[in-house]
Amino acid sequence: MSQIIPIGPFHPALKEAAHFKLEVEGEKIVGGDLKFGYNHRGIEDLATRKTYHSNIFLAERVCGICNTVHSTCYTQTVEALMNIEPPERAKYIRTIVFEAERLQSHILWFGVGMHEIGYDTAYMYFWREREHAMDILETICGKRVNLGINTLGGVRRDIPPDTERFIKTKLDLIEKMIDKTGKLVNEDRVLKARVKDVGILSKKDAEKLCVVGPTARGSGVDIDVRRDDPYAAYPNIEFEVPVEEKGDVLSRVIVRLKELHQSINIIRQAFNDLPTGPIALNELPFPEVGEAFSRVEAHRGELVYYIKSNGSNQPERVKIRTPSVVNNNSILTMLLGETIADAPIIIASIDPCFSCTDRVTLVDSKKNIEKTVTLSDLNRRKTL
Amino acid sequence: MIRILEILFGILVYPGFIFSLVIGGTFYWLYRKVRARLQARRGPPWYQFFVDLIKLFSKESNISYSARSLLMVLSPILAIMSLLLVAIMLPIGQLIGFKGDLIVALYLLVLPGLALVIAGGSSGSPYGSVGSSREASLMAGYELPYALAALTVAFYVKSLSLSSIMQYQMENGVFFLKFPLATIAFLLCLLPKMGLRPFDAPEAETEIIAGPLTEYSGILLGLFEMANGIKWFVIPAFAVTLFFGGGSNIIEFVLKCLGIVLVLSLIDIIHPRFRIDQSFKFFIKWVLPLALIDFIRSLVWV
Repeated sequence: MSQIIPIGPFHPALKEAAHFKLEVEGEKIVGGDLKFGYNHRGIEDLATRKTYHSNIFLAERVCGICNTVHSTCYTQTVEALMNIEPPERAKYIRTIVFEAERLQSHILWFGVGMHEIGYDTAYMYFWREREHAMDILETICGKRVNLGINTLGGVRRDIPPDTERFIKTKLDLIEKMIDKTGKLVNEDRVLKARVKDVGILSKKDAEKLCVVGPTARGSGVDIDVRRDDPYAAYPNIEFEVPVEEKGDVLSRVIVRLKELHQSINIIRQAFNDLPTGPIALNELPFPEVGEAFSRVEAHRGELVYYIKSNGSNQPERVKIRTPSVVNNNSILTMLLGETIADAPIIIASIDPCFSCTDRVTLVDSKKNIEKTVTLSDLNRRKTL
Repeated sequence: MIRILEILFGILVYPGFIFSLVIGGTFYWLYRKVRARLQARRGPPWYQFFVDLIKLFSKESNISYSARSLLMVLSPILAIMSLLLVAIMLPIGQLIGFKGDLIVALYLLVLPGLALVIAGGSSGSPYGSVGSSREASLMAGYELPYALAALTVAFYVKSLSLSSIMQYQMENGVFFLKFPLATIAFLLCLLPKMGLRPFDAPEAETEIIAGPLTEYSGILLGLFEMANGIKWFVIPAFAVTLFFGGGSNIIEFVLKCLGIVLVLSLIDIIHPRFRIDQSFKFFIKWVLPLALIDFIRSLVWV
């Protein structure tokens, strides 16, 4: 006899609204359904009514944790439409901010993951250490969240000249913390018992479901946009792409842990090679008629922007494909056969971000009757 | 008549309701405070537990249509009453003492956990039923080593009365030194009994919200909170009586309870949560043999 356990839309394990309907037998999950759409904000539509410049700030607000990722990808796409290339120094500053943001995002994820398995002490500890990464962002950008560093053809703020030492000490502190975390993950047996061999996503499934980012790399799929299709300052920087073969939650944890090391490495290299010169172009041309496409490696995986221009100062179409859109589909595969107790950590292990995922509205109407709004329904509504 | 009044006073004031609620509430606050300080947080003020109770009692209780309301109302009362009865059997007030009160106390201490099982099962919520099934399977794991460890000392003293067990320890030294393995097993069983990590799977908030208590609100939730507060005194006090020699006066007794509370809090702070099958395995695989070794030792060797 199976029973339905709802997780969400509002649930302590979820930081944003999403609905997971888990069909369980005792503690074992035998089926399930995912429903998103509680946070739909119509950003793609809104973007077509704003100018290219104000869209930078709209793109930043797609996601709070990975905001520079979105603005970088957006500006790259528009720069491709305009046929311009930002100055070298701007590219390096973008890289530094990008990786500093990855640091804070991954550390935040570690905290959340620990909270999901009930390790609240580690959760508080991680979030305290995350402040170092936030301090780096604050010294460079003047803000902690929604950094507003990117602009078309460059960046808006230069790195203040006397802050390099401060940032480097903060990096050392974070590195120390990562080493401690590595020890924790390797040695704590209770922790290992909760994450090892749990939520397995095999390489075959990972390829079939097209997952991206740390989720794919944890399953042995060796993809990383920073290396495969370098942008910003990445062509000049040496770094490794960590890959783990097993595909369980532990390997996704280890991938993120190693990525933290690589991020610190990248920031240090970028500071050493930081070229001098202007940080932004003074004059910008109008975007040409046509379309452009750009991708970056966000903290959760590959992020894609597509923009179609009609020659005016407003884009005709903006299409955003966030990494969580593809990763969310893999949750169900990982959940089947596991227990309810593991569901939160499995859901958290792909670092889902629902506010950037929601795009099709699903309507739950009264009592158990669930209605999906189909395309034909939508068309009919438009005409009515 | 005076005897009845005495017992009523014992249940309601000392060492029953008011005394154990104040001491237990303070212990609970201490646990939260230590936890907060070790997590680089500030933690609640000392009166937090009591103002929480006052707030809950001023709120309305909702009972959903799918719930069995009688069981839902009775289960917190069952938990509180059983804990208070154990409180007056403790050798601090020594109001009720008879041969075999150890066995009665052991049975009564099962009831708070059983009340949670009933609460979850009767609440009509899927989280509640998952929580109560977890609580039940956890109880199956920890009750056996718990009872075995308690019976170890009883067999050694050849008496089933709490006061004679304490008397023996006063004269011959505490059982903690004589039966260290049984003591450790007993203390480990206190963790799930008090809902502490790593064995708090029945109330895992990231998985099943509040487990059995998900549907509870207002006064009924306040009663369960009250039972929780009393639990924080009575359960360590029972351990102090059995293994740490009780106390010649009440202050010594409370200080010993405080020591146990701090040890349990530290274990709680440094651990993540076990899955329910892992918790059950832990008790059968490690804790039960520990208790069994000392139990056999008390029969044949010592």
